[in-house]
Amino acid sequence: MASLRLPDSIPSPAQDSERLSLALQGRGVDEKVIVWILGHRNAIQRKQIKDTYQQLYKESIIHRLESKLSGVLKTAMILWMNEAPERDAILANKALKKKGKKINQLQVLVEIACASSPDHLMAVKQAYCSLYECSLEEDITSNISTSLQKLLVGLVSSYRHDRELVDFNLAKSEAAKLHEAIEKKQLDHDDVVWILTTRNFFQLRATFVCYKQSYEVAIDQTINSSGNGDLGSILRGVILCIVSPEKHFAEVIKASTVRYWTKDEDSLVRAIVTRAEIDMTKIKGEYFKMNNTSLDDVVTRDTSGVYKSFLMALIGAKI
Amino acid sequence: MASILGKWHSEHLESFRKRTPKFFVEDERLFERWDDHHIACLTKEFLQFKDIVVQWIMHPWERDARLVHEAITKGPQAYGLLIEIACTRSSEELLGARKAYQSLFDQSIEDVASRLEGIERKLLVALVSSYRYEGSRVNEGTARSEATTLAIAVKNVDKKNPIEDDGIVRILTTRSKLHLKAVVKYYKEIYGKNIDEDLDTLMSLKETLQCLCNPQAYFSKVLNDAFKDDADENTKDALTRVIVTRSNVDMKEIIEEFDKQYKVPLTQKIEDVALGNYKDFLVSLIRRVA
Repeated sequence: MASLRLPDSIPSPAQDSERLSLALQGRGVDEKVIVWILGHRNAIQRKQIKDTYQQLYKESIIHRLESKLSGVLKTAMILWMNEAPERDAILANKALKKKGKKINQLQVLVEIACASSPDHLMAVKQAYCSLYECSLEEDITSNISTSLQKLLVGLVSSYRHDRELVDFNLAKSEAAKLHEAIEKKQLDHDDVVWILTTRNFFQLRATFVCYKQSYEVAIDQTINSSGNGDLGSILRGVILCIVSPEKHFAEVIKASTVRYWTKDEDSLVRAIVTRAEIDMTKIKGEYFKMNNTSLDDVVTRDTSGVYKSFLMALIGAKI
Repeated sequence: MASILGKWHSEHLESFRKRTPKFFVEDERLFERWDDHHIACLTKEFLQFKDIVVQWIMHPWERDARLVHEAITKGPQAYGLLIEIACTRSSEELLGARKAYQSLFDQSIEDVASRLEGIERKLLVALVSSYRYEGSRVNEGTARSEATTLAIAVKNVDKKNPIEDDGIVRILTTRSKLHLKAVVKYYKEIYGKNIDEDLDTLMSLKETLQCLCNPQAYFSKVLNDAFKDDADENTKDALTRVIVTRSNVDMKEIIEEFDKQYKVPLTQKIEDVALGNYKDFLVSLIRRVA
């Protein structure tokens, strides 16, 4: 469930554009107004504001925001104002081009492929081609080590079926195939890749349940205890995003903050901005279960300024 | 036909039968019996006409999805058709076919492809999953080095079949068509010969590259094979398929290529092998672009 709160009566896109234009005029910038408006509009409303602003002022509001805002508020707001496919294409590109990237920075690719709908993944790929003049698969090939390429390219290529169709016999036999591959430390075996990248999500959830039933241990724990390095880490991310994206994002948020400061701003922003209109309410539930603290309290404690107000608005916190 | 034949009474029909010895023979039990061969010809012609009409009107996504399904059902002998569709359609058209396949058959193509038999499986899954960049940017340095990668794989064919090489499959299934044309060009520059000469024993790879880089040559050959006297039913079906699926795409270039390769106009070959309404439909589809 989305956490974003909308006001009872929404001004017209023209009224919003006018107030935003005033806030972005002159030498300073009224960040509070920008956050107050944009932090309380859903995707359709933000698009209308973008289009109206362009018509009225002959300028892209995103460009204006880029030139007037700074720091982490700018990062968050630009992501928020882009439509979801472009936003995720930008996030994927940023993760792929980052020098000295750690494995958890590739999580965004797994999230796009496994924690959203197949149609969204295809839209991200289309956006990626338009923005970066090459396909997402090609940039994965150029920027990721060979051992991870097969799985990551497979994950982003596949257009999975979106119906709840499960073949329980297949689930059982594929649980066995996966088990064998993990035991033999053959995590990049073709069968593993094809099973995880081409089956529909419902089928895979059934496969993971069969796995637990047959081997009395969850599949991600088997991967963990086999000590399978970077590839194992990605695979566990895949499994968690398929089974429970809320838990995955709750973990991402937890890993991004330390008492009184945020050690990984990018991950915190990504988790909140990309899920505010999808399942942030569930993520907050999982977060509380994990940490016995509410996300609202943690964001209050570990972030500051107008940026904090923006994040609070997105997670539907009571200010 | 309906307006003429439908008006005939039994005397007209009898008279027609008696006056057309080509179609009707005098049976020993004293009735004009329809010659079996001609029934077969008529059946075939009506069937071909029905096929071409249905395929022509059908949405291209549904058409491709049904062709893919047919190929998967037929097995390894029809894998060439999977390669054809995956490689000669635009990225959006291929995605459309994948959407239609899900609506029609309740599975994704890649899911089904991952369970096919044979060493082509890796290549086929990756081909049907591809969404290639279609702009003009090409990294010449990468194209050049990938030409070398291909050459090395071809040279080592006895040690490992390139079709099972992850790196080779990735090049063929993720690079843009323009990029692959550059790879082919560099191959010729560096090694002095066309890559398809070196891929003669690796048919799937050869067809893949040809479909991606020179679809007109590929379709000309498919058409020519369909015209041969000893062609089987599948090969002959290609005539309808190619004309219908390429009519709005690159039929003009295919006609020119066919003329160049086989020194005879495509329309003439069609006149030679096709009959009746089926033939007329084929010719009109070609004439609209020529």
